Amino acid sequence: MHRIIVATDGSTTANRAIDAGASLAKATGADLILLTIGGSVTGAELRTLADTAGDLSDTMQSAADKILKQARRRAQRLGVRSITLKTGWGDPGDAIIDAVQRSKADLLVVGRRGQSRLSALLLGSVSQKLASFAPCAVMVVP
Amino acid sequence: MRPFQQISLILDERQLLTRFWQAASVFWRTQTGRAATLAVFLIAVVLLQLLVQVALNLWNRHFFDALERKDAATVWLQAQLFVPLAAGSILLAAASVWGRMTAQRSWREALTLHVIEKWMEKDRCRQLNHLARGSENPEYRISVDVRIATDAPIDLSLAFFSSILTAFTFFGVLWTIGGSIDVNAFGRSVTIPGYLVFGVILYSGMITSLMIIFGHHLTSVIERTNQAEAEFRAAADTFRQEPTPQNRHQVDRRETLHLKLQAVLLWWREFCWQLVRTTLVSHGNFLFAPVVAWILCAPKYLSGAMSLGELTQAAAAFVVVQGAFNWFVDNYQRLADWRSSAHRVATLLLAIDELEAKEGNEKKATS
Repeated sequence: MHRIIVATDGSTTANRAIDAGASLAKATGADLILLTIGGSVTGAELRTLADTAGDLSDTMQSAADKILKQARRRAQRLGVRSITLKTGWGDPGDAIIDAVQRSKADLLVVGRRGQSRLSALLLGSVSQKLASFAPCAVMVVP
Repeated sequence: MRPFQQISLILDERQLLTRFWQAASVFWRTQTGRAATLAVFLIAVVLLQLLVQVALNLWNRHFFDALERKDAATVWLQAQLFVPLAAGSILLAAASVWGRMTAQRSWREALTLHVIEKWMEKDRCRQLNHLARGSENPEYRISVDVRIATDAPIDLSLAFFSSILTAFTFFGVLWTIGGSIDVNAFGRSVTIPGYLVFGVILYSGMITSLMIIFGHHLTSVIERTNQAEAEFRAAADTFRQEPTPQNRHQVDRRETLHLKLQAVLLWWREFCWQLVRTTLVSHGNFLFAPVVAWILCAPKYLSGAMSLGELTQAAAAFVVVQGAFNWFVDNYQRLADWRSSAHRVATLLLAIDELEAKEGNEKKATS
Protein backbone atom coordinates (compact mmCIF):
# COMPACT_ATOMS: atom_id res chain seq x y z
CA MET A 1 0.00 0.00 0.00
CA HIS A 2 1.56 3.32 -1.12
CA ARG A 3 -1.03 5.99 -0.58
CA ILE A 4 -3.91 6.30 1.87
CA ILE A 5 -6.37 9.14 1.55
CA VAL A 6 -8.55 10.21 4.48
CA ALA A 7 -11.50 12.53 3.93
CA THR A 8 -12.37 14.77 6.86
CA ASP A 9 -14.92 17.44 7.66
CA GLY A 10 -13.62 18.09 11.17
CA SER A 11 -16.37 16.02 12.84
CA THR A 12 -15.85 13.40 15.56
CA THR A 13 -16.52 10.58 13.11
CA ALA A 14 -14.00 12.07 10.70
CA ASN A 15 -11.46 12.22 13.53
CA ARG A 16 -11.92 8.48 14.05
CA ALA A 17 -11.32 8.02 10.31
CA ILE A 18 -8.09 10.03 10.61
CA ASP A 19 -6.95 7.84 13.51
CA ALA A 20 -7.66 4.67 11.52
CA GLY A 21 -6.01 6.01 8.36
CA ALA A 22 -2.96 7.32 10.24
CA SER A 23 -2.46 4.03 12.11
CA LEU A 24 -2.61 2.13 8.82
CA ALA A 25 -0.22 4.56 7.13
CA LYS A 26 2.25 4.20 9.97
CA ALA A 27 2.00 0.41 9.98
CA THR A 28 2.40 0.08 6.20
CA GLY A 29 4.75 3.04 5.61
CA ALA A 30 2.27 4.54 3.16
CA ASP A 31 1.95 8.25 2.41
CA LEU A 32 -1.06 9.85 4.07
CA ILE A 33 -3.22 12.34 2.17
CA LEU A 34 -5.66 14.35 4.25
CA LEU A 35 -8.53 15.71 2.21
CA THR A 36 -11.33 18.06 3.08
CA ILE A 37 -14.16 19.21 0.87
CA GLY A 38 -14.93 22.85 1.51
CA GLY A 39 -17.89 24.96 0.58
CA SER A 40 -20.64 23.93 2.96
CA VAL A 41 -21.82 27.41 3.84
CA THR A 42 -25.30 28.08 5.22
CA GLY A 43 -27.67 30.73 3.88
CA ALA A 44 -27.40 32.70 7.14
CA GLU A 45 -23.59 32.74 6.87
CA LEU A 46 -23.84 33.94 3.26
CA ARG A 47 -26.25 36.74 4.18
CA THR A 48 -23.91 37.88 6.95
CA LEU A 49 -21.00 37.88 4.51
CA ALA A 50 -23.06 39.79 1.94
CA ASP A 51 -23.72 42.58 4.43
CA THR A 52 -20.12 42.85 5.59
CA ALA A 53 -16.79 43.14 3.83
CA GLY A 54 -16.08 39.40 4.26
CA ASP A 55 -14.87 37.42 1.25
CA LEU A 56 -16.53 34.06 0.64
CA SER A 57 -13.53 32.42 -1.05
CA ASP A 58 -11.24 33.47 1.80
CA THR A 59 -13.78 32.31 4.39
CA MET A 60 -14.14 28.90 2.74
CA GLN A 61 -10.40 28.56 2.23
CA SER A 62 -9.56 29.37 5.83
CA ALA A 63 -12.28 27.04 7.15
CA ALA A 64 -10.84 24.23 5.01
CA ASP A 65 -7.27 25.09 6.09
CA LYS A 66 -8.31 24.98 9.74
CA ILE A 67 -9.84 21.50 9.36
CA LEU A 68 -6.76 20.24 7.53
CA LYS A 69 -4.29 21.65 10.06
CA GLN A 70 -6.16 20.02 12.92
CA ALA A 71 -6.22 16.74 10.99
CA ARG A 72 -2.47 16.97 10.33
CA ARG A 73 -1.70 17.57 14.02
CA ARG A 74 -3.81 14.51 14.88
CA ALA A 75 -2.02 12.33 12.32
CA GLN A 76 1.41 13.61 13.40
CA ARG A 77 0.62 12.72 17.02
CA LEU A 78 0.08 9.15 15.81
CA GLY A 79 3.56 9.19 14.31
CA VAL A 80 2.89 9.70 10.58
CA ARG A 81 5.55 11.83 8.89
CA SER A 82 4.65 11.93 5.20
CA ILE A 83 1.42 13.92 5.11
CA THR A 84 -0.06 15.84 2.18
CA LEU A 85 -2.97 18.23 2.61
CA LYS A 86 -5.59 18.59 -0.09
CA THR A 87 -8.77 20.64 -0.51
CA GLY A 88 -11.62 19.89 -2.88
CA TRP A 89 -14.73 21.93 -3.63
CA GLY A 90 -18.28 21.13 -4.59
CA ASP A 91 -20.31 17.95 -4.13
CA PRO A 92 -18.44 15.95 -1.43
CA GLY A 93 -18.93 12.53 -3.09
CA ASP A 94 -17.79 13.66 -6.55
CA ALA A 95 -14.92 15.77 -5.20
CA ILE A 96 -13.58 12.89 -3.06
CA ILE A 97 -13.73 10.44 -5.99
CA ASP A 98 -11.94 13.02 -8.17
CA ALA A 99 -9.22 13.46 -5.53
CA VAL A 100 -8.79 9.66 -5.18
CA GLN A 101 -8.39 9.32 -8.95
CA ARG A 102 -5.89 12.18 -9.19
CA SER A 103 -3.76 11.04 -6.27
CA LYS A 104 -3.93 7.35 -7.34
CA ALA A 105 -4.65 6.34 -3.73
CA ASP A 106 -4.86 2.66 -2.79
CA LEU A 107 -7.24 3.14 0.11
CA LEU A 108 -9.88 5.71 0.98
CA VAL A 109 -10.87 6.12 4.64
CA VAL A 110 -14.06 7.99 5.55
CA GLY A 111 -16.33 8.40 8.56
CA ARG A 112 -19.78 6.87 8.31
CA ARG A 113 -21.85 9.99 8.95
CA GLY A 114 -21.07 13.52 7.89
CA GLN A 115 -24.27 14.92 6.49
CA SER A 116 -27.45 15.62 8.39
CA ARG A 117 -29.97 12.80 8.58
CA LEU A 118 -32.43 14.68 6.38
CA SER A 119 -29.97 15.37 3.57
CA ALA A 120 -28.67 11.80 3.81
CA LEU A 121 -32.25 10.57 3.42
CA LEU A 122 -32.90 12.85 0.46
CA LEU A 123 -29.60 12.66 -1.35
CA GLY A 124 -28.05 9.45 -0.11
CA SER A 125 -25.07 9.39 2.22
CA VAL A 126 -21.61 10.30 1.00
CA SER A 127 -20.04 7.16 2.43
CA GLN A 128 -22.57 4.98 0.57
CA LYS A 129 -21.77 6.76 -2.68
CA LEU A 130 -18.03 6.37 -2.11
CA ALA A 131 -18.34 2.69 -1.23
CA SER A 132 -20.15 2.15 -4.52
CA PHE A 133 -18.16 4.35 -6.90
CA ALA A 134 -14.63 4.98 -5.51
CA PRO A 135 -11.90 3.50 -7.74
CA CYS A 136 -10.04 1.97 -4.77
CA ALA A 137 -10.67 0.08 -1.54
CA VAL A 138 -12.88 2.04 0.86
CA MET A 139 -12.80 1.80 4.64
CA VAL A 140 -15.88 3.28 6.35
CA VAL A 141 -15.21 4.03 10.02
CA PRO A 142 -18.26 3.99 12.32
CA MET B 1 12.20 50.96 -15.87
CA ARG B 2 12.33 49.72 -12.30
CA PRO B 3 9.65 47.23 -11.39
CA PHE B 4 6.72 48.74 -9.51
CA GLN B 5 5.54 47.45 -6.19
CA GLN B 6 2.26 45.58 -6.03
CA ILE B 7 -0.65 47.99 -5.80
CA SER B 8 -3.42 46.98 -3.42
CA LEU B 9 -6.66 48.84 -3.70
CA ILE B 10 -8.71 49.18 -0.53
CA LEU B 11 -11.54 51.49 -1.43
CA ASP B 12 -14.74 52.71 0.09
CA GLU B 13 -18.11 53.10 -1.61
CA ARG B 14 -17.94 56.90 -1.82
CA GLN B 15 -14.48 56.89 -3.37
CA LEU B 16 -15.61 54.35 -5.98
CA LEU B 17 -18.80 56.16 -6.94
CA THR B 18 -17.03 59.54 -7.10
CA ARG B 19 -14.40 58.09 -9.43
CA PHE B 20 -17.04 56.40 -11.57
CA TRP B 21 -19.15 59.55 -12.02
CA GLN B 22 -16.03 61.60 -12.67
CA ALA B 23 -15.24 59.36 -15.65
CA ALA B 24 -18.85 58.68 -16.66
CA SER B 25 -19.67 62.39 -16.91
CA VAL B 26 -17.25 62.64 -19.85
CA PHE B 27 -20.14 62.16 -22.30
CA TRP B 28 -22.30 64.84 -20.70
CA ARG B 29 -19.33 67.25 -20.49
CA THR B 30 -17.77 66.79 -23.92
CA GLN B 31 -20.82 66.14 -26.11
CA THR B 32 -23.13 68.63 -24.45
CA GLY B 33 -25.26 69.34 -27.55
CA ARG B 34 -26.01 65.70 -28.33
CA ALA B 35 -26.48 64.78 -24.69
CA ALA B 36 -28.89 67.68 -24.07
CA THR B 37 -30.90 66.88 -27.23
CA LEU B 38 -31.30 63.26 -26.16
CA ALA B 39 -32.21 64.24 -22.60
CA VAL B 40 -34.89 66.71 -23.82
CA PHE B 41 -36.25 64.10 -26.25
CA LEU B 42 -36.50 61.45 -23.52
CA ILE B 43 -38.15 63.83 -21.06
CA ALA B 44 -40.64 64.88 -23.77
CA VAL B 45 -41.44 61.21 -24.45
CA VAL B 46 -42.08 60.58 -20.73
CA LEU B 47 -44.41 63.59 -20.55
CA LEU B 48 -46.31 62.54 -23.68
CA GLN B 49 -46.60 58.98 -22.36
CA LEU B 50 -48.13 60.36 -19.19
CA LEU B 51 -50.58 62.42 -21.25
CA VAL B 52 -51.65 59.32 -23.20
CA GLN B 53 -51.94 57.34 -19.96
CA VAL B 54 -54.28 59.98 -18.51
CA ALA B 55 -56.30 60.00 -21.75
CA LEU B 56 -56.58 56.19 -21.64
CA ASN B 57 -57.68 56.38 -18.02
CA LEU B 58 -60.43 58.86 -18.97
CA TRP B 59 -61.34 56.67 -21.92
CA ASN B 60 -61.94 53.81 -19.46
CA ARG B 61 -64.45 55.91 -17.59
CA HIS B 62 -66.35 57.08 -20.69
CA PHE B 63 -66.41 53.62 -22.25
CA PHE B 64 -67.76 51.87 -19.16
CA ASP B 65 -70.26 54.66 -18.43
CA ALA B 66 -71.60 54.23 -21.98
CA LEU B 67 -71.81 50.47 -21.44
CA GLU B 68 -73.72 50.99 -18.19
CA ARG B 69 -76.18 53.32 -19.98
CA LYS B 70 -76.37 50.86 -22.91
CA ASP B 71 -75.53 53.85 -25.14
CA ALA B 72 -74.43 52.13 -28.37
CA ALA B 73 -73.45 55.34 -30.18
CA THR B 74 -71.03 56.43 -27.43
CA VAL B 75 -69.60 52.91 -27.11
CA TRP B 76 -68.87 52.97 -30.85
CA LEU B 77 -67.37 56.48 -30.62
CA GLN B 78 -65.15 55.44 -27.71
CA ALA B 79 -64.07 52.33 -29.59
CA GLN B 80 -62.98 54.57 -32.48
CA LEU B 81 -61.21 56.95 -30.10
CA PHE B 82 -59.22 54.07 -28.65
CA VAL B 83 -57.40 53.51 -31.97
CA PRO B 84 -55.47 56.84 -32.05
CA LEU B 85 -54.82 56.60 -28.32
CA ALA B 86 -53.38 53.09 -28.67
CA ALA B 87 -51.39 54.15 -31.75
CA GLY B 88 -49.97 57.11 -29.82
CA SER B 89 -49.04 54.88 -26.90
CA ILE B 90 -47.36 52.32 -29.19
CA LEU B 91 -45.41 54.98 -31.10
CA LEU B 92 -44.26 56.63 -27.89
CA ALA B 93 -43.11 53.27 -26.48
CA ALA B 94 -41.08 52.69 -29.67
CA ALA B 95 -39.67 56.24 -29.54
CA SER B 96 -38.72 55.71 -25.91
CA VAL B 97 -36.79 52.55 -26.80
CA TRP B 98 -34.95 54.39 -29.59
CA GLY B 99 -34.15 57.38 -27.37
CA ARG B 100 -32.97 55.32 -24.44
CA MET B 101 -30.82 52.97 -26.49
CA THR B 102 -29.30 55.82 -28.51
CA ALA B 103 -28.41 57.69 -25.32
CA GLN B 104 -27.03 54.50 -23.76
CA ARG B 105 -24.95 53.71 -26.87
CA SER B 106 -23.49 57.21 -27.03
CA TRP B 107 -22.70 57.26 -23.33
CA ARG B 108 -21.14 53.81 -23.47
CA GLU B 109 -19.00 54.82 -26.45
CA ALA B 110 -17.70 57.92 -24.68
CA LEU B 111 -16.91 56.13 -21.41
CA THR B 112 -15.39 53.06 -23.11
CA LEU B 113 -13.09 55.25 -25.23
CA HIS B 114 -12.09 57.22 -22.15
CA VAL B 115 -11.21 54.05 -20.19
CA ILE B 116 -9.42 52.44 -23.17
CA GLU B 117 -7.37 55.59 -23.66
CA LYS B 118 -6.18 55.55 -20.05
CA TRP B 119 -5.70 51.77 -20.02
CA MET B 120 -3.57 51.60 -23.18
CA GLU B 121 -1.46 54.69 -22.56
CA LYS B 122 2.23 53.92 -21.87
CA ASP B 123 1.58 50.18 -22.01
CA ARG B 124 -0.32 50.29 -18.70
CA CYS B 125 -2.58 47.46 -19.85
CA ARG B 126 0.35 45.05 -19.52
CA GLN B 127 1.69 46.47 -16.26
CA LEU B 128 -1.71 46.33 -14.58
CA ASN B 129 -1.88 42.56 -15.07
CA HIS B 130 0.95 42.11 -12.61
CA LEU B 131 0.56 45.09 -10.35
CA ALA B 132 -2.89 45.90 -9.21
CA ARG B 133 -5.12 43.73 -7.11
CA GLY B 134 -8.80 44.47 -7.64
CA SER B 135 -8.40 45.33 -11.32
CA GLU B 136 -8.34 41.76 -12.63
CA ASN B 137 -10.06 40.97 -15.92
CA PRO B 138 -9.89 44.55 -17.31
CA GLU B 139 -11.24 43.48 -20.73
CA TYR B 140 -14.50 42.38 -19.14
CA ARG B 141 -14.73 45.57 -17.09
CA ILE B 142 -14.20 47.67 -20.21
CA SER B 143 -16.71 45.79 -22.36
CA VAL B 144 -19.48 44.46 -20.11
CA ASP B 145 -19.25 46.50 -16.91
CA VAL B 146 -19.07 49.83 -18.75
CA ARG B 147 -22.17 48.80 -20.72
CA ILE B 148 -24.17 47.89 -17.61
CA ALA B 149 -22.91 50.96 -15.75
CA THR B 150 -24.10 53.29 -18.54
CA ASP B 151 -27.31 51.43 -19.49
CA ALA B 152 -28.89 51.28 -16.07
CA PRO B 153 -28.72 54.97 -14.99
CA ILE B 154 -30.69 56.07 -18.08
CA ASP B 155 -33.42 53.42 -17.66
CA LEU B 156 -33.59 53.86 -13.90
CA SER B 157 -33.67 57.66 -13.88
CA LEU B 158 -36.32 57.81 -16.61
CA ALA B 159 -38.41 55.21 -14.79
CA PHE B 160 -38.02 57.19 -11.56
CA PHE B 161 -38.99 60.48 -13.22
CA SER B 162 -41.97 58.82 -14.87
CA SER B 163 -43.04 57.17 -11.58
CA ILE B 164 -43.00 60.47 -9.68
CA LEU B 165 -45.02 62.27 -12.37
CA THR B 166 -47.45 59.35 -12.71
CA ALA B 167 -47.99 59.06 -8.97
CA PHE B 168 -48.77 62.77 -8.54
CA THR B 169 -50.97 62.98 -11.65
CA PHE B 170 -53.04 59.96 -10.70
CA PHE B 171 -53.29 61.08 -7.09
CA GLY B 172 -55.42 63.85 -8.56
CA VAL B 173 -57.58 61.32 -10.40
CA LEU B 174 -58.03 59.21 -7.26
CA TRP B 175 -58.80 62.26 -5.11
CA THR B 176 -61.39 63.61 -7.54
CA ILE B 177 -63.08 60.36 -8.54
CA GLY B 178 -62.88 58.61 -5.17
CA GLY B 179 -63.99 61.62 -3.17
CA SER B 180 -64.69 61.06 0.49
CA ILE B 181 -66.22 58.12 2.27
CA ASP B 182 -68.09 57.88 5.57
CA VAL B 183 -66.90 55.15 7.87
CA ASN B 184 -68.76 54.12 11.02
CA ALA B 185 -66.35 53.33 13.83
CA PHE B 186 -67.13 52.95 17.54
CA GLY B 187 -70.62 54.34 17.04
CA ARG B 188 -69.35 57.50 15.34
CA SER B 189 -69.34 58.41 11.67
CA VAL B 190 -65.97 59.54 10.35
CA THR B 191 -65.50 61.13 6.93
CA ILE B 192 -62.24 60.29 5.14
CA PRO B 193 -61.55 62.76 2.32
CA GLY B 194 -59.75 61.37 -0.75
CA TYR B 195 -59.89 57.92 0.79
CA LEU B 196 -58.51 56.20 -2.32
CA VAL B 197 -55.32 58.27 -2.06
CA PHE B 198 -54.85 57.13 1.54
CA GLY B 199 -55.75 53.59 0.48
CA VAL B 200 -53.10 53.49 -2.23
CA ILE B 201 -50.47 55.03 0.06
CA LEU B 202 -51.22 52.47 2.79
CA TYR B 203 -51.30 49.54 0.39
CA SER B 204 -48.08 50.60 -1.41
CA GLY B 205 -46.38 51.25 1.92
CA MET B 206 -47.31 47.76 3.04
CA ILE B 207 -46.01 46.13 -0.17
CA THR B 208 -42.75 48.11 -0.08
CA SER B 209 -42.24 47.23 3.60
CA LEU B 210 -42.89 43.55 2.86
CA MET B 211 -40.44 43.68 -0.03
CA ILE B 212 -37.79 45.28 2.18
CA ILE B 213 -38.37 42.66 4.88
CA PHE B 214 -38.36 39.73 2.44
CA GLY B 215 -35.57 40.96 0.18
CA HIS B 216 -33.37 43.24 2.23
CA HIS B 217 -30.30 41.13 1.42
CA LEU B 218 -31.08 41.00 -2.30
CA THR B 219 -28.94 43.93 -3.50
CA SER B 220 -25.86 42.86 -1.55
CA VAL B 221 -26.32 39.22 -2.64
CA ILE B 222 -26.59 40.27 -6.31
CA GLU B 223 -23.49 42.40 -5.91
CA ARG B 224 -21.58 39.50 -4.37
CA THR B 225 -22.83 37.12 -7.08
CA ASN B 226 -21.54 39.48 -9.78
CA GLN B 227 -18.25 39.90 -7.93
CA ALA B 228 -17.86 36.12 -7.56
CA GLU B 229 -18.54 35.68 -11.30
CA ALA B 230 -15.85 38.28 -12.05
CA GLU B 231 -13.35 36.54 -9.75
CA PHE B 232 -14.12 33.19 -11.38
CA ARG B 233 -13.49 34.66 -14.84
CA ALA B 234 -10.25 36.25 -13.59
CA ALA B 235 -9.09 32.90 -12.13
CA ALA B 236 -9.86 31.13 -15.42
CA ASP B 237 -8.04 33.85 -17.31
CA THR B 238 -4.94 33.49 -15.11
CA PHE B 239 -5.05 29.72 -15.65
CA ARG B 240 -5.13 30.25 -19.42
CA GLN B 241 -2.29 32.77 -19.37
CA GLU B 242 0.10 30.51 -17.42
CA PRO B 243 2.96 30.03 -19.96
CA THR B 244 4.19 26.46 -19.36
CA PRO B 245 2.69 25.40 -16.07
CA GLN B 246 4.55 23.23 -13.63
CA ASN B 247 2.49 20.28 -12.50
CA ARG B 248 2.24 21.57 -8.93
CA HIS B 249 1.28 25.02 -10.13
CA GLN B 250 -1.43 23.56 -12.31
CA VAL B 251 -2.89 21.65 -9.34
CA ASP B 252 -2.99 24.87 -7.28
CA ARG B 253 -4.63 26.77 -10.13
CA ARG B 254 -7.19 23.99 -10.58
CA GLU B 255 -8.00 24.15 -6.86
CA THR B 256 -8.37 27.93 -7.08
CA LEU B 257 -10.68 27.59 -10.07
CA HIS B 258 -12.82 25.06 -8.22
CA LEU B 259 -12.89 27.30 -5.15
CA LYS B 260 -14.02 30.29 -7.23
CA LEU B 261 -16.66 28.17 -8.96
CA GLN B 262 -17.93 26.98 -5.59
CA ALA B 263 -18.20 30.61 -4.44
CA VAL B 264 -20.17 31.47 -7.60
CA LEU B 265 -22.55 28.53 -7.06
CA LEU B 266 -23.09 29.36 -3.40
CA TRP B 267 -23.91 32.97 -4.21
CA TRP B 268 -26.31 31.80 -6.94
CA ARG B 269 -27.99 29.50 -4.44
CA GLU B 270 -28.53 32.44 -2.07
CA PHE B 271 -29.64 34.65 -4.98
CA CYS B 272 -32.21 31.98 -5.87
CA TRP B 273 -33.61 31.99 -2.32
CA GLN B 274 -33.72 35.79 -2.26
CA LEU B 275 -35.69 35.77 -5.53
CA VAL B 276 -38.03 33.08 -4.20
CA ARG B 277 -38.75 35.27 -1.16
CA THR B 278 -39.30 38.48 -3.15
CA THR B 279 -41.45 36.65 -5.71
CA LEU B 280 -43.86 35.76 -2.89
CA VAL B 281 -44.41 39.50 -2.40
CA SER B 282 -44.26 40.65 -6.03
CA HIS B 283 -46.58 37.96 -7.35
CA GLY B 284 -48.93 38.46 -4.41
CA ASN B 285 -49.00 42.16 -5.25
CA PHE B 286 -49.67 41.38 -8.92
CA LEU B 287 -52.79 39.45 -7.88
CA PHE B 288 -53.98 41.65 -5.03
CA ALA B 289 -53.44 45.23 -6.30
CA PRO B 290 -56.36 45.31 -8.82
CA VAL B 291 -58.66 43.44 -6.43
CA VAL B 292 -57.86 45.81 -3.54
CA ALA B 293 -58.71 48.71 -5.84
CA TRP B 294 -62.07 47.19 -6.79
CA ILE B 295 -62.87 46.37 -3.16
CA LEU B 296 -62.04 49.92 -2.02
CA CYS B 297 -64.29 51.40 -4.71
CA ALA B 298 -67.12 48.88 -4.27
CA PRO B 299 -68.92 50.61 -1.33
CA LYS B 300 -69.32 53.84 -3.32
CA TYR B 301 -70.42 52.00 -6.46
CA LEU B 302 -72.94 49.89 -4.53
CA SER B 303 -74.34 52.99 -2.82
CA GLY B 304 -74.79 54.60 -6.24
CA ALA B 305 -72.30 57.40 -5.52
CA MET B 306 -69.94 56.14 -8.24
CA SER B 307 -70.73 55.08 -11.81
CA LEU B 308 -69.28 51.94 -13.41
CA GLY B 309 -67.03 54.16 -15.54
CA GLU B 310 -65.72 55.99 -12.47
CA LEU B 311 -65.19 52.66 -10.73
CA THR B 312 -63.02 51.31 -13.57
CA GLN B 313 -61.19 54.63 -13.89
CA ALA B 314 -60.44 54.75 -10.16
CA ALA B 315 -59.39 51.09 -10.07
CA ALA B 316 -57.06 51.62 -13.07
CA ALA B 317 -55.61 54.78 -11.47
CA PHE B 318 -55.06 52.87 -8.21
CA VAL B 319 -53.05 50.21 -10.04
CA VAL B 320 -51.06 52.86 -11.94
CA VAL B 321 -50.15 54.77 -8.76
CA GLN B 322 -49.33 51.53 -6.97
CA GLY B 323 -47.06 50.55 -9.89
CA ALA B 324 -45.34 53.96 -9.71
CA PHE B 325 -44.72 53.49 -5.99
CA ASN B 326 -43.12 50.17 -6.81
CA TRP B 327 -40.21 51.79 -8.66
CA PHE B 328 -37.70 50.86 -5.99
CA VAL B 329 -39.08 47.33 -5.58
CA ASP B 330 -39.14 46.69 -9.33
CA ASN B 331 -35.62 47.97 -9.84
CA TYR B 332 -33.91 46.31 -6.88
CA GLN B 333 -32.00 43.92 -9.12
CA ARG B 334 -30.94 46.48 -11.72
CA LEU B 335 -29.74 48.85 -9.01
CA ALA B 336 -27.56 46.11 -7.57
CA ASP B 337 -26.22 45.15 -11.01
CA TRP B 338 -25.42 48.79 -11.73
CA ARG B 339 -23.69 49.29 -8.40
CA SER B 340 -21.39 46.31 -8.83
CA SER B 341 -20.51 47.21 -12.42
CA ALA B 342 -19.87 50.86 -11.52
CA HIS B 343 -17.64 49.64 -8.67
CA ARG B 344 -15.63 47.42 -11.01
CA VAL B 345 -15.15 50.18 -13.59
CA ALA B 346 -14.11 52.58 -10.83
CA THR B 347 -11.64 50.05 -9.35
CA LEU B 348 -9.95 49.70 -12.72
CA LEU B 349 -9.78 53.49 -13.16
CA LEU B 350 -8.35 53.95 -9.67
CA ALA B 351 -5.72 51.27 -10.34
CA ILE B 352 -4.73 53.15 -13.51
CA ASP B 353 -4.63 56.43 -11.53
CA GLU B 354 -2.39 54.77 -8.97
CA LEU B 355 -0.08 53.53 -11.69
CA GLU B 356 -0.06 56.99 -13.27
CA ALA B 357 0.92 58.53 -9.93
CA LYS B 358 3.74 56.00 -9.51
CA GLU B 359 4.98 56.75 -13.03
CA GLY B 360 5.11 60.43 -12.06
CA ASN B 361 7.08 59.65 -8.90
CA GLU B 362 9.51 57.45 -10.87
CA LYS B 363 10.06 60.26 -13.36
CA LYS B 364 10.76 62.78 -10.61
CA ALA B 365 13.18 60.38 -8.90
CA THR B 366 15.20 59.76 -12.10
CA SER B 367 15.36 63.43 -13.23
